[in-house]
Order: sequence, then C-alpha cells, then structure tokens
Amino acid sequence: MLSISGLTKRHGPRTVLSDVTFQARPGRVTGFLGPNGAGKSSTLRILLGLDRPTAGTALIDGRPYRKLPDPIRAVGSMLDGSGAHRSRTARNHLAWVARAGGVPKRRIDEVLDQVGLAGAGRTRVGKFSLGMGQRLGLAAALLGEPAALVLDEPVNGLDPEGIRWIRGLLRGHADAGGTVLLSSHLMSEVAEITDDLVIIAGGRIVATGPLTEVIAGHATLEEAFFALTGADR
Amino acid sequence: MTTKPTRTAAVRLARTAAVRLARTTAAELVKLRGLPAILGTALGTVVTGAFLAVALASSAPTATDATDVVTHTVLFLQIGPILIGVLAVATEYAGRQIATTLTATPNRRLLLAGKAAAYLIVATATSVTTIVAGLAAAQLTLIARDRAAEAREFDPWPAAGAVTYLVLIGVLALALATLLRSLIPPLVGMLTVVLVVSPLLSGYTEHARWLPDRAGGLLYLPTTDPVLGARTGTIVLLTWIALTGSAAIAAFRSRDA
Repeated sequence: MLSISGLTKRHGPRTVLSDVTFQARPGRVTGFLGPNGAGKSSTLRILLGLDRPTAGTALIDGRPYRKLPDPIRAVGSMLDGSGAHRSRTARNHLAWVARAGGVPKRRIDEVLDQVGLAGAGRTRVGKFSLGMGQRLGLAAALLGEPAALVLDEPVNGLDPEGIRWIRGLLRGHADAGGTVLLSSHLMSEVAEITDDLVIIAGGRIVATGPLTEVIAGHATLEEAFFALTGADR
Repeated sequence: MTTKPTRTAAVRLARTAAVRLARTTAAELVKLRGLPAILGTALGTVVTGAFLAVALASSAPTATDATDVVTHTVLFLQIGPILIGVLAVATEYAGRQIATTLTATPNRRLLLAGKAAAYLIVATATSVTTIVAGLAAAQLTLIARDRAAEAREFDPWPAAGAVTYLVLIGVLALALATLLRSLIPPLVGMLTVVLVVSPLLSGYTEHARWLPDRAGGLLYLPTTDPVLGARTGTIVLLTWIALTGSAAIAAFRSRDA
C-alpha cells in the first residue's frame, strides 16, 4: 500500500503541492490524473525519495522510500523515459541497476524479454526510439520483481500495440495482488486501465475514489475531469 | 553479559554497511565500464603518456633520466583523471540517470562513497599504467639515443608521487562536478586552473604555491618550492579536496535530485 498524507511542497514562494492525500491499494490499478504541471511528477518524486516534502509523508507499507532495505525489490519505478545515459547499452544500464539493487543477474535477460527488447540489449540507448526508451525504463522497474509499480506517464511514446501491451502488463500485476500507481494526462488511457482514480489540479487533490464513483453524474471521464478541475472554459 | 549482544549487533551493522558499500561500488564500476567516454579517456591517457615520454626523451637535449622525463608530462596527463572524475558525475545528469541511480541507492552518503571508490579504482589503474608506460617508453628512447644515465639506483618515489597526484587531482574534479552537477562548468573550471591560471599566476606571485595543482605537484617534484615540501604540499591539496568534498556532500544530501 502506498500512502500519501498531507503532502505539501513549496519552491520558494511557489506552492507546488498543498495537502495532497491519497492511497494506492494492492490488487488495484490507481490512475493519477491531472493536467501538465498539476503536481503529478512532484508527488511521485517525493514518494520515491528523490525530493523532500515541505510537510507531510509518503509511505510504502508504512516506511518512507529512503528507509526501505532493498528499495527496487519493493517498488519498481519509472520517471521520464528510460532514465539511462544515452551512450550505454540497454544491457549495461540494467546490469548496474541490478547490481545496485541486489537483484540477481539472470533478471536482466528476463526483463529484456518481458518488455520486448530481447534483441536490443547491445544497442546504445541513444539509438532507441521514444517507445523503446519507455520499454527500457519499464524493464528497470520490473527488474527487482517488486510488489508495487510507480510509473510516471508510462504510455508516453508507445505505439498502439505498446499501449495494449502495457495495459495487459499492469492489469496482470494488479490481479496478482500487486499495487500499481500510474500518472497520466491522457484520459482515455486512464479510463481503460484504472480501478481507482486520483485527480489533481493546481497542486490539490480534487477527487479520489473508484473510477465509477468519480465519473458518476458525468457522461465520460473527460467531462468529469474538466468539471472537477475547472479547466474547461 | 549485556555488552555481548550489543557488540554482535554492532558487528552485524558494520558487516551490512560493508556489503552495501561493496555492492554500490560494484554497480558504479559497471556504470563506468558502460560509458565509452570513460574507456576512451583511460586508454587515451595511457597512449598520450607513452607518446609524450617518447617525444620528450628524444627531443630534450639534457634528458638523461626516465623519471625526470615522465614527471614533466604530468601537466598534460592530469587532463585524463580530471575528465574521468567529471564524467563519472556529469553523466548522471545527462538524460536524468540520477533518478534511476537514487531510486536504486537512496542513501546519498553511501552512493557518493561508492562513486568515489569506483573512481579511485579506475583512476589508480589508469594512472599506474600511464606512468609505468611512460617510464618504459622514456627509458627505451633514452637507450636508443644512447643517452640513458649510468645505471644508478632507481628512485620509485617521484613516479609514485605522480600517480598519487593524478588520482587526487581527479578526486577534486569529481567533488567539483558533484557540487555543480554538470559537465562543462566543472571541466572548464578544473582545466583552466591547472593549465592556465596556475602557470600564469606562478610567474606573478609566490602565493600560486597554494593552488591545488601547484601544491600537489610537490608530490613528484618535491624540491621545487622553498616553503612547501612533498608532505605539506599533499596536505594543501587534500585540504582543497576536503573543502570542496564537504560542500559537495552537503549539497548532494540536502537538495532535491
């Protein structure tokens, strides 16, 4: 279970997040939806121990990320594409992540295969398309066989076949009892894949709950989204 | 009776810390190995060292001693470890690899320790190979020119000092890059100090001896300064490293990734 509670983040006078509270539960796919700049990435970065909150907590099964003994074996994450330096090969990238995270070497081939990059292990990341970079980022997230997945805009750059594939992957992960938290600004994708919805706008949570409840009273998720975020003119 | 479990716990804690440091260092080594720029720099430094030694040994009219020749090439060779130190950090911030790094190793101090250890391994291997290759190349050239000095006792200290200096000046570059988290500013800064500011300033003021490379240079040219010696010069260089390193560690631990 991922629990975000009372999270506030300020950069000088600018408030990026104010009192953000929600949970992502095991066995469910939780969609974190909001316009660009709403605070999705900021929230995920704090959850992953990259940034510090001004106030509040973000816990993974009751512990902050930085206190997890083997973090990538508990939470697999992907922020902003591959997260690899362009001059290394995909295999070298996964090799150092595995080493750092205490993950056995055999997992490298397994995840390359799983994300459809089995033939591209020796290719340098700089030669990858956006979609391939995204798949490599996912491979790194899956490396430690984590119970929870935290993914920032995972469908970005994926082709229709890739989107279908990731949908199946995340559904399977949740159905097997895992926790999935994914952010997106693409409503149709989120509507297709999520069980629970968290909507953020201007650094504040405007709605949380099961997808059907959040949409209730609106024709589509898109309509609900614009009504809730007040982004519609 | 009560001290026994405490000691066992302390030993276990120390062992866990050692295992984690070994793991992080190994990961950082895999990371360095995967960067063509690091391999190229290491190889280029060795080749340049041998090439410069041959050039100097065959052209300098008074050259009779291989060690003498090699210590005069260090001014240029230091570009190698400086590049390795800067690249080891700067590549983290190109393409946001730093987020992957910190999710795999969230403990900032552990990560920096592993990074420094991996740098030390690569830089020491590179510097030892470079200096040994330079000594061999210089000696062979001198023999070929029939200029080799009479077989006198080989003094290994200047060569060891040159290796130590090369490794340490790169540590300073690594610390500066960690502080500035970028490629060009720390690289240009370091190269400007060692290649431009230091040679120019030493012509104007004797205070130039306190610059990191001037002071550290006494490791392999120990009798060139009236105030500092090999030991005090090393302390000055280590002080530069400690100051920059502390600022870098404090910044790296406190700021958002």
